[in-house]
Order: sequence, then structure tokens, then C-alpha cells
Amino acid sequence: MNTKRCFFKSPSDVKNTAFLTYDYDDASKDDDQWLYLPALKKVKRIPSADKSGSFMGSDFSYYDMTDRNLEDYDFKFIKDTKVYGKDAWMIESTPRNKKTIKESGYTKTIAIIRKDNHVVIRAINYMKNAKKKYMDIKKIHKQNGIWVVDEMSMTTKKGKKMLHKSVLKFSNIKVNTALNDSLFSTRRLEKGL
Amino acid sequence: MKKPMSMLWLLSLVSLLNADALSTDLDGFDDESLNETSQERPSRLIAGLTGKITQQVAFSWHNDAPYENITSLKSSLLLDYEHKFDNGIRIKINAKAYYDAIYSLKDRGDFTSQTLNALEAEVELYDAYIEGKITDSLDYKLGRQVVVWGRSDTIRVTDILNPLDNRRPAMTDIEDLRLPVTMVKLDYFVGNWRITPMAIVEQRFSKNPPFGGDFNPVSFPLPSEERYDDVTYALSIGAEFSGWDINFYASHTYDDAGYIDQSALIPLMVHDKVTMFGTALNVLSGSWLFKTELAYFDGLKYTSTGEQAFSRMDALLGVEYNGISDTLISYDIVTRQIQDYTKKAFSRI
Repeated sequence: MNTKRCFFKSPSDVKNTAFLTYDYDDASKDDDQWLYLPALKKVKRIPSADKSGSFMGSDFSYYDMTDRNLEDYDFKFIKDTKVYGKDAWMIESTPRNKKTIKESGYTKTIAIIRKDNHVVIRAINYMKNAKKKYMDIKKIHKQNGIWVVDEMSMTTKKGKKMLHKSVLKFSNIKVNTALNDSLFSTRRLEKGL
Repeated sequence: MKKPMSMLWLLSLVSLLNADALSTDLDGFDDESLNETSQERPSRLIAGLTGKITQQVAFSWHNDAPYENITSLKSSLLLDYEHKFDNGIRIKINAKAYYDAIYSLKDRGDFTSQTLNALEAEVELYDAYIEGKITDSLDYKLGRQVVVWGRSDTIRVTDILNPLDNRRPAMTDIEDLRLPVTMVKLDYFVGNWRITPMAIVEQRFSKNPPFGGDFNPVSFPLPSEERYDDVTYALSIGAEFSGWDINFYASHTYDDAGYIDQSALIPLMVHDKVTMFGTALNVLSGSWLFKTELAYFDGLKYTSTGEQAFSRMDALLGVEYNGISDTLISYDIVTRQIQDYTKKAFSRI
């Protein structure tokens, strides 16, 4: 099981909003997700079957914030290529069923994966409404033997026209740190960072 | 021989078109060089202090003077301070002040004193609490705070601990709707369960539309309200599991609605203590979230029925659907049944 929690410090309209997700390895089991809404002053459980919606108004969706289940996709090697000067593979993944399409909002994804570290550096996510979402990892670094992302962007386009773009920056990343399970609880969600 | 060649040609054409489309799609990546400029936010004058200025305008169609056209021109300032110490203790305090200029812009003499007192200007302390943990499984929260019971976001069945600001129904921001009360709250955690006893040391009641105001049709002012300064108690026991969660509630607190005690020489708005037992349940299924709440109240009194005490059962069924992108559809329905109301009401006559 993967667990994630996010706390929002700014802007002021989302300050103290917090998000907690339990992403189960069993693909048939729905994730558990909760939001702490400071305006309502309560933790609210949210249905998670459709993750295609925008995550906090950004171009990233709830689906983009969770790990993909590989067994939900068929993969096809397209070609060898280069990305940011590094050798890479271009691989197409197609959802095996309508449930995955509905859950993700994507009908197909073309990913460019660096050969030296197996990190997906770029991806084009095709949507039903003829829009495409371009994921682009701009900065990564290796920390204690693990590749971690410093900056990534998601750009929504229709044709060649850019509709919207979000940039996600990471800092103060720590790896291989012992974390107590209690950190990932609704109790901690209410208390803020 | 001719047919396989045609197929080959067709496959080649499809392949070329696909390659061309892919090439076009790949051009969609932004090849701008990375902007390394730091975009750090400027530091605040006082760390932890934030504020918000709001301007609200309300317009009324088809209403009598003085409540025609623009009915509110309210400027608000919210200041919020919070700080978390290294030992995990957090303090939070926020206050809101507002001034509604519409009463001065119109003629203050057209409004009742109750309306001006309630709606023209106010400075209100909202949250003011300190919280932390005593042991790994025991938290405390002391001070003015909001505690939300139940699952519904729209209708209150078990959510009875905080009064509401109803002076302008449906026009109050959701974050200002519940009025904090001073209480001592402990949270004890064991496994998936949370046990929360509370002692409520401040007794306050909902703010209702003032006499003579736009939302109060009564032709006479309500009597003044009795004050209470004793301590009341409440308890919540709840648990969260994968796909569902449940809570049980019990309280012995003052009835927020109250009633007019006409037996006294001077009628008074009084609130009696009411016992409540309740439960709330969430069940998740795919894109659907099913909600239910049940509350049983005992000791309720009404203005029209004097000293007769009633019990009441409230039940809520709700559903949320999140299967459409960026959309949440929610529907809650509540039934409220006062036990033996007719029988007891007629027995008075």
C-alpha cells in the first residue's frame, strides 16, 4: 500500500487544506481518500473511483498523484529516442478496459523513459475530449542512490494551443527516513504541518 | 499477388500517418530552457499572521423599503495567527471585524435598533485555542473551537455542538457559519478508534435574524435570552476502516433553538438541557459515497406547548456521486419526527 499526504500552506484560499490517500496494491480495491477542509473544519472522505478530476485546481489530476497499476495497461515499444540528451525508450500504454479509462481520464499514454535510470521523463496523456496533457520532468537528482524529482510540469493543450500549465516543485526531500504510520492518519490531517 | 501488395501499401501509409501524428504530438513539449529564478514567497512581517479583506454586496429584487435594491455593502477584515512550536503544540487565534455601509448610505432611521446592532458592525473572536498531545495516543485541544459531528455538509442532524450565524440565512460564508464555543476536548486513539470526550464551558446560541430585519417577519421583538454559565458534556466514539467509517455520539447540552417561557412575569427566551444519542455512517462504493445519520433527542420544549417535554428522532440519508470529472453531486434527505406531539399538544387544551 502506498500512502501520501499533502498539506497546503498557500495561497490563502486553500491554506490548511490537507489531502490523505491510501493507494492499495490490490487494483480491484478502491483507494481511501480524505480531505481536511478548513472552511468546514472537518475531515471529509471523498469517493476515489474517478480520479480524472483536477487536483486542487491544477493540471495534475488525482490520478496523476497516485501510482499506476501496471496490470491495467497493455504496453507497446515504439522506438529508441533521446530526451534532454539522454538515451531513452518511447513506450505506448493503452488501458485494458473502460474502467481504467474512466478512472484516469486518459485513453492512451506515450511515455519517454530514460534508459540509464528508468525514470519517465516525459509523457503525453491523451484525453477523450481531444485534449492532451504533457507531463515533463525538468529537474531530477540522485539522492542516496534514489532518483528524485525536483521539478515537473503538466501542460494541457488542445491541438497546438496551450490551455493551462501547472508546475510542481519539490524541495527539502528526504529519502530512506523512518516514518511512523500514524503520520498518515486523519488525526494528523487535522493538525496541519 | 496484387492484393497483398495493396495491403502492404495501406499498412505503410497508416504507419507513416501515425508516425507523422506522433511527431506532431511530440512537438507539443515545451522546449523552453529551465527558468532557474527563485520564486520564493516574500517573508511576512509576522510569521504565522495572515489576513483577508472581503467586500460583499447583496442586491434584492421585489422587496419593500428599506430592503429594496442594494441591501448590504459589507467590508470585512479577517486576521488569523497560528504558530506550531517544535514540541508539536499549536496555537491558533483569529478574529473578524466588519462594517456594513449600506445602513449609513440609506437612512439609519429606517432600520430597527435590533437590526443596526446585529448587522451594521461587529468585531468577533472566532477560533482561539491551543492543541497538542499528552501521550502518543492522547491529544488535547483547549479553547474556542468548532467541532463538527456527522457526515452531511448541508443538513445538520448530529452536528449540534456549535451554534450558527443565521442572521442572513444562506448569505454567510461557510467558514463563518459555525460559531466557535469554548471547550476542553480530549482525543484518545486506540487502533482504528477515536474516543473524544468534551466539556463545553461556554454556552452560546445561534444568532438569528434581528427583529425588523429582512429575514424576520415577526411583528414583535423576541424576549431577551437567559444566560447560562455552567458546563455541559459530550462524547464521540468513532472509527475509520477501508471503505467505511462510523461514529457514535452522546451529549447533554442546551437546546440551541430554545423556547419562550411565558409562565414568568416577564417572558424570557430559555434553553433547557437536552440529551442526544446519535450515530453517523459513511460507506464508499466506487464513485458513490453513501451517508446516514440518526439522532434521538429527549427533553425538547416548544413555545406553543409550555412545560411539556418531547422526544424527537431525526434521520438523514445522503449520497454523493463523484463519477463526473471535476463535479460532485450531493443529495441529502432528512426526516424529523416529534414523538406524540399532537397528543401532548392537545392535552394542554
